[in-house]
Amino acid sequence: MNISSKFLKKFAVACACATSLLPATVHAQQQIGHIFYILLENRNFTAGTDTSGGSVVLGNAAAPYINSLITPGNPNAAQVSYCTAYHNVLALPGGTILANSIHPSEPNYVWFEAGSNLSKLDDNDPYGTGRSVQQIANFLANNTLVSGQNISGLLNSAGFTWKAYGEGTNLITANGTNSNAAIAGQHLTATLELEANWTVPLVSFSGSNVTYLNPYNNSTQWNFACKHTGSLFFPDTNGSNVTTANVSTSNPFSQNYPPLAQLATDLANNTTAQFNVITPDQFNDMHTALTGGFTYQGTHYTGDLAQVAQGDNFLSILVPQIMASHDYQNNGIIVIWTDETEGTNQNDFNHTLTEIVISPLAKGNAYASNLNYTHSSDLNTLQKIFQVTAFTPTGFLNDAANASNSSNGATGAGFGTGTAFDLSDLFQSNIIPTTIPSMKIVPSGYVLNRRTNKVTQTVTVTNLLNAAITGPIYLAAGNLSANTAMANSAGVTQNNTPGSPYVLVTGSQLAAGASTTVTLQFTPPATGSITDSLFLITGGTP
Amino acid sequence: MNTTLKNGLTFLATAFALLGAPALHAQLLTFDVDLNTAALNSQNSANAPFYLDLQLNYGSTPQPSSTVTLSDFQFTGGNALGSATTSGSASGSLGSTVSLTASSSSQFNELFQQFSSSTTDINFHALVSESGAGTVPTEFATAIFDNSLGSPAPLFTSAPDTQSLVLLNLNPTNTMANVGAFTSISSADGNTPVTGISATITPVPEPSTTAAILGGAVLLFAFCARRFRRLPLAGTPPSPTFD
Repeated sequence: MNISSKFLKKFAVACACATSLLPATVHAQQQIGHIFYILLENRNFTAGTDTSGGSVVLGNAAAPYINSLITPGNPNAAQVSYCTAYHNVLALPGGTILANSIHPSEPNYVWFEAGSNLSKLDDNDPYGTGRSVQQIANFLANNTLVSGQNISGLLNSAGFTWKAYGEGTNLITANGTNSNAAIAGQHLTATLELEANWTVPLVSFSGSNVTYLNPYNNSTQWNFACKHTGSLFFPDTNGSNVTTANVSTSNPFSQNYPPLAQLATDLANNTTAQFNVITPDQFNDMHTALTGGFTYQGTHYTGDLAQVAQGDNFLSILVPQIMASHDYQNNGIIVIWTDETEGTNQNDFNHTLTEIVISPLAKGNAYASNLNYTHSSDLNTLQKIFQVTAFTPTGFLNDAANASNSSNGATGAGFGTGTAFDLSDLFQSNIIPTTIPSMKIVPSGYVLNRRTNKVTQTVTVTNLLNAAITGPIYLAAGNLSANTAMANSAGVTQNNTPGSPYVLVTGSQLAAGASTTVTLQFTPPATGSITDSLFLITGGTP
Repeated sequence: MNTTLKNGLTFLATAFALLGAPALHAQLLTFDVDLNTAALNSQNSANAPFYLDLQLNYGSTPQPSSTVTLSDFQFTGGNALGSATTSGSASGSLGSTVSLTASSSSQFNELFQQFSSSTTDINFHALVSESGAGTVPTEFATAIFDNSLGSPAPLFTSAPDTQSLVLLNLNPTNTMANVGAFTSISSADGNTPVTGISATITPVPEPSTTAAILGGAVLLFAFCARRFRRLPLAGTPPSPTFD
């Protein structure tokens, strides 16, 4: 197959997805069930010889559960695949220049949503003195080529459900207020707020009191940080405007930010969202050691190792709970994700992050993918799974369009053997769709035209990209029922579902975001219904 | 049951009747259609007779069947002529009620009725049942034809299919904004000699909703009147009690 015909075939497939946008989406969702991302903090999976970033996860005695997941033959690893070369975004084999060093935490969570840190290089809260949302808006106003869309927003617009569970949020305090109010000196309890009283957590808070008992680490300490939930930094998913936080119960996204304690109920009732992000508090995500340390499986850890043990303990409880649910067992996916590398020269390829996929659809038995990955690989994968297109030249969210950096032939622990756009190597074949729609079609119903005695159907074709699509573009009716014929067809396809009648949509190009309407005419069937499968073709002779 | 509880339940029932009833019938769209046909008068000899065409055509499977019920037909300045021609599931007559049901076993459903050219307005009431959506939606269309080309021909309009005066792609999430109303325009091929034939759509509450609201209002009135009667009149000393 030569390059042009290969391209043609690829684009036809892409357009076919676009054409049958609803069927394509349904197909993906039939194969892949609910998705659960568990977000961890600041912990290297491997770090070469560097020890300045703390102990690593791989082989750490304080992380027995995580290591059981990635040990072939271990029962816990049966449905597990993982990455051996998942790097900080913009990492290079020898390390990045300072300007491309994406740290601390918040820029990575923003990247996980948008494929860019959108200028963020700090951990400020979304509003108040931090003003991260305003900072992002200012950046976007001056950088119009960068997209401000985010994955949760795209899912929302496409009608998919999403939730961002936060540990410590939407709990009742000892004074009866909502913990999200972050009132100075508030004492949390472990009691959930009534759902009607939930708000969007737009202020960070922490503390300790005997009124509260953490169900995972049994401490009386809490620590919720906005910086670890990326969707809070986008007005289209935080229910606020650029300048002012909406912390009322009337915020339209209040139900999208349940307390983590709600997850068990949602799992039991099969009411988790199609896309779930789980943000542990800063003790259970490996960020901060509990005051007084943490005893785990008979060993008392303090400091750096306590952080690891707390996170491992959290996962050892939460992951089996999710795996026992219908929403997981019906082809669900759990991803254990980590935000950033730590240590000296943390942006080189010696430093890797923990990225573990658990799913009935994964290759399983601790399959180790040795390609190079970043957060953009997750984003690219999510867009393909949900078939959601951003209004960018490629349809992907900023850097999600790009392959991860290659090792350039360098080898060593942490150096992958190739590049990856998505996480498909971790899954069985043909699970992750290969592309996202670049166009969509919306057909009308049928009307019998009395003058022509033809059944007419109008079809609107829309370019979803922020770039023109070069013509000619054809609309074809695949598998057209035998009881009719396309009366105004310009011919039948030779290369794409051969024998399908088609019409020309445009001979030139379809401008960015533009729509055009074409009319199909069919001969009236004597009996039965007209059935077909419309699809688009571009890039050459149909 | 004590009085307070009974009153409370009465109030709740009233509130439900007032607020809840419309939501229970959200899948129905009801509206009046006014087709302004006055411009046909000048075309009597050349293009008469004229025809009213009503269609409900099934889209793609899987999709539940849908029904459109049309009633209260009025021909101002003229009248329907002869019997209607029907196809598919279309049934009834303009003198009473016309019913169109589109399903996987009956894709094309049409009623075709001649009317006198002196007609200046055609009015009817439409009740659309929208129970599901398909990739290709079920479509309701209304058109007027003349006798061009020796056979009934549609007026050229600004509608996407160039012939309809009223167009609706059925979907349970539809609002009245989704009902398309169009006007005939002159066409490049000269096949439409009459311009200015137009459709106007007016939403109306369905009868059951109206009844529910009225019923709720009556209950609310009764509840308030009962409470009012129990209040002592100003300046009237309370009656002595001996228990």
